[in-house]
This record gives sequence, C-alpha cells and structure tokens, in this order.
Amino acid sequence: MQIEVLDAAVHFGNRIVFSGLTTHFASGQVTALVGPSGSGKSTLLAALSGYQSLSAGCIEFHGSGPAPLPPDPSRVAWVPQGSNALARRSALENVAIAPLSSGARLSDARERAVEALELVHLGDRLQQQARRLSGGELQRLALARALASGKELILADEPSANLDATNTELIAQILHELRARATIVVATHDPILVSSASAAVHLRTLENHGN
Amino acid sequence: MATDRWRPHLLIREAFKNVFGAGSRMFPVLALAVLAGSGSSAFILVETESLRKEVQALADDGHNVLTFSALKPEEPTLISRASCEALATQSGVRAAGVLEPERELNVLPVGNRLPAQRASITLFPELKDADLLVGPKLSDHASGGFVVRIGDEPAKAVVAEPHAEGLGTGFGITLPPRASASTSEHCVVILDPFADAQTTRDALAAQLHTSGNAVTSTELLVPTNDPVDTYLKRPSRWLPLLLGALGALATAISTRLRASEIAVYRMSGTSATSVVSLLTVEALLIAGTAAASAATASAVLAKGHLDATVPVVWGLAMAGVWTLTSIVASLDLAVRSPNDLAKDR
Repeated sequence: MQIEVLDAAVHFGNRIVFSGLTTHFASGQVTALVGPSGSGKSTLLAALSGYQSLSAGCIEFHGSGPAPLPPDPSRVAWVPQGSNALARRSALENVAIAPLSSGARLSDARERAVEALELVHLGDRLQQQARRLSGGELQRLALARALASGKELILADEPSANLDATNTELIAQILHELRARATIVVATHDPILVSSASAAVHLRTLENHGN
Repeated sequence: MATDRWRPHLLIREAFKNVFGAGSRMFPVLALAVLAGSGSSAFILVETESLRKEVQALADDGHNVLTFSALKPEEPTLISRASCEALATQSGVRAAGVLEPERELNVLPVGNRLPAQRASITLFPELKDADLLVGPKLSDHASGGFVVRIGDEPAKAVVAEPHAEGLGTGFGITLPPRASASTSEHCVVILDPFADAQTTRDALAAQLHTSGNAVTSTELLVPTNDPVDTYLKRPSRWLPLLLGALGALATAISTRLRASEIAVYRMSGTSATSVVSLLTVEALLIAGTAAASAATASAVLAKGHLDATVPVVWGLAMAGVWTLTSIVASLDLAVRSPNDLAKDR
C-alpha cells in the first residue's frame, strides 16, 4: 500500500501543527518521519491512521483497488512509544489480541501470535507475563502485535525511545526484515533508525507556528 | 466509526480474563464487590434483627393480641368456643381460644388465694401436658412438671411460658376450660407479631359464631408508633445503592488506571464500540459478583431474614447501579484517541 499526502494541514485553533505538507510513503519500505519535537510527527501519524482529521488537504491510500481510499483506523496497526501492554497477561495473549480483533478464531490467533513473536525474536518468551519483559522486549512485543494484526500499514511512534543502542539496532533490524509485509512509517529522532530506513520525510518547525 | 470483527464469545472471554485472570488488576474491586454484596445482606440482617426485637417487645406488651367480646357491655353475647379455637389454625394467627376468669384458688405449695382463669389449650398449648399452669412469677421451678395440691386433690402443674402482659399467665393460675363449657364471653387471638391487626380483625370476627349481639375486638396494646413503618422508611435502606455507586467509582478508577491497557486493544484494531462492550462485560462480571455475594450471604443467613429474597433484590439493585455508573464513568476511555490513551500511565 502506498500513501499520498497532498497539501495536508492540521491546525489546533490558532496553532498550526503543520501545513502545506505533500509527500508519499512507498509500499514495501520503511520510511522514517523525522523532525524536532513539536514538528507534528505524532499528529501526522494520527492523521495517517484516521484518528486525526486534517484541517486542509487529503491523504490517500493506494492499494490493490482501483480507487484511492481515505485513512481508516481499521487498516492501521499502531506501535506506540513506550511499553503499552496488558501487564498481567502473557506475551502470547498480548499479541493474539490483534488477530482476534480482526475476527480470527482463538487457535488461528494463537498461531499468528506465535509466528509474529518468533519474527521479533521473542519466541522463547511466549508465556512470560508482559510485566516481566524488559523495555526493549516490550517494544518488540508491540511490533509483534502490529505484525499479527496483518494490517497493511504499520505506524510506529518513537519505537526506540528509552532503549539502549543494542535494542535500538535490534528494532531497526526487525523493521527492515518486516518491510515486505507492510508499509512502515516510523516517527523517530534516533539516528540508528533513520539510517536503517529506506527513505525519510523531514518535518521542520516554522517560526510562525508551522512547518 | 471504525469497526472490528471480534467474535462475541472471545470478547467475553477477554473480559473474563481481565477480571478473574491470575494477578488481575481488578482483584481489589472484585474483593470490594464480595464485601459490598455480603455486607449489604448482613447489614439488612442486623436491621431486621433490631426490628424483630422491637416488634417482639411490643408483642410481649400485648401488641397484636386481640380480645373479642360484646360490642356493648349492656348487650352481652356468647361466643362459640369451637369457632374461637378454630381461629388458631388461620393464617397469621399464632394462638386463639377462650379465656374466662375463675374464682381465686389455693394451690399448695404455690400460695393461697391466687388469681385464676380458664383458657383453651389452643391459646396456651403448654396446658396440653398439665392440669394447670403456674405463673412464672409465682414459682421457682424453671421447667418441667411438678405436683401441687388444689384442696385435697393432687394436680400436675407446669410453669407457664412467657405470654403477653395482660393475658394473666404471669401472676396467676391458668386452668383448662370446663368440658361442659361450649361458649365464652371472651375469645382471645394472638396474631403473628408482624401481622396487621387492623386488616385481620374483621375477617376473624366474621368467623366467630355468636349468640345474639355483635362483637368487637380490642387490642391489649396499641403502639404509638409502628416499628415496621419506621423500618420501611429508614434512610439506611438505600445503603446497597450507595455501595453500588461507590463500587462503580472504584471500578471506574481501576479502569482508568488501566488506560494504557485499553490503548493496547484500540491499537490492535479493536473499535470503540467493542471497547465499550468489553468494559460493559467487565462491569457486569464485577457487579454480578456483588449480586452473587449478596445472594450467597442471604442464603447462608436465610434464617435471620424476615424474607431472604429482600437482600437478593437489593443486591441486584446494587449491581444495576454498579454496572450502569461504572460504564458511564468509563465511556470516554473508549472514544479517546488510542495514542492519547497510550500516553496515560
């Protein structure tokens, strides 16, 4: 799935988060979304996912169908910053939620969760409670959840925040390995993730409230 | 609004695991539900016990003890003994029978010139096992029969059981009616302490066979305030609903502390509608635990309750308030952006 962003803008009252933004995110690759804090990276991710409406412009998803589609939360898997997880549930159960929400049977959801956890090198931690996992492992757990969802678009918001270099490199490696499975957009400050991405979109903060 | 394809039974399973799973973060709320449910039943029992004691104290003083006799003293009437004693089998009636004064008696070794009366066995059933009853305030015998003499005749006596003040069993001698006595001027009816004398008396009077003039009934004691009415209007009867509201508040707070977990569902493709369904099932499970605890406590304490279904009904009302309030208080979690939820820790 390829995404086109055309002359997009988001305003919160008088504050312009970004405006006049035109770019595209190619399918089959990892695109880094970079820029200083406040430049609108998270807001753009929210707009790509359909949770944030644009003040102007449009976003189009170009998939296998003939007509472009608007952003739709049901097409998106979101990898949040930090360690969101069902703390007292196993890694397997945490990941299985994604396929379950798309209508999978319990046994199928478990199979997909196991496969996804193995892809993010957590195959040996299936039954571990999420609260027992390290920060890096939790981030990979979130990636596994996104993978298991089977969604065509994975949006990751600062997936290496608070991680050391070793864990960041591992995340970068996994994202690189997954690029054939989905269009991946990663909002990040981290040079390791930026350098491993196939492309980068730079957002700049304009002096007068915008980009 | 985005949709998902959760299978309903798997969403219910998810809620079940979130509430009852090992190490569930909802355990404190579950414990509160058990305490609130069983506590409300126990509280109703304590209040019922207090009411029961008040009503019994009034009954001991003569409340709900009716004496049927002639409407006008100058127009006497005789009441059929059989029809009077038959009232003892009526619903809401503890005992009934004729009661007539008797001349004073010398009963040795109890005393001389003791006040005496004659009463039906259906009114004082302990007469069945003895020739006469001795008032408990006249005798040191705690229980069981003992032999007395009336004149030269030996007789088997037992100490009268506690009866309402005014029935004459405390300080006197009570004998059974003479075999030949088929009528009496007085018919005494002891109602259940919780029976309503006002609505019962006319129906009972209609069943008495009388000769001639009309009868009326008087109550030995007419209380100035009705403890049952006071009980039914007590403010503390709303306690289960208050507990339900407090439980809902605790549930809503616990759910908010799990905001980042709710975010996991949303970010995994679960729609806002399914999150509301999930939270609703969780609230139902917790409130259902409260209702089940109330029902279990009511079953265990059934003997103490006037009506064991009452605390169960209050338990269900508590569960209803608990469920509805906690769902309303958590609705915003379902509609917030998953990214915002994820930042709540």
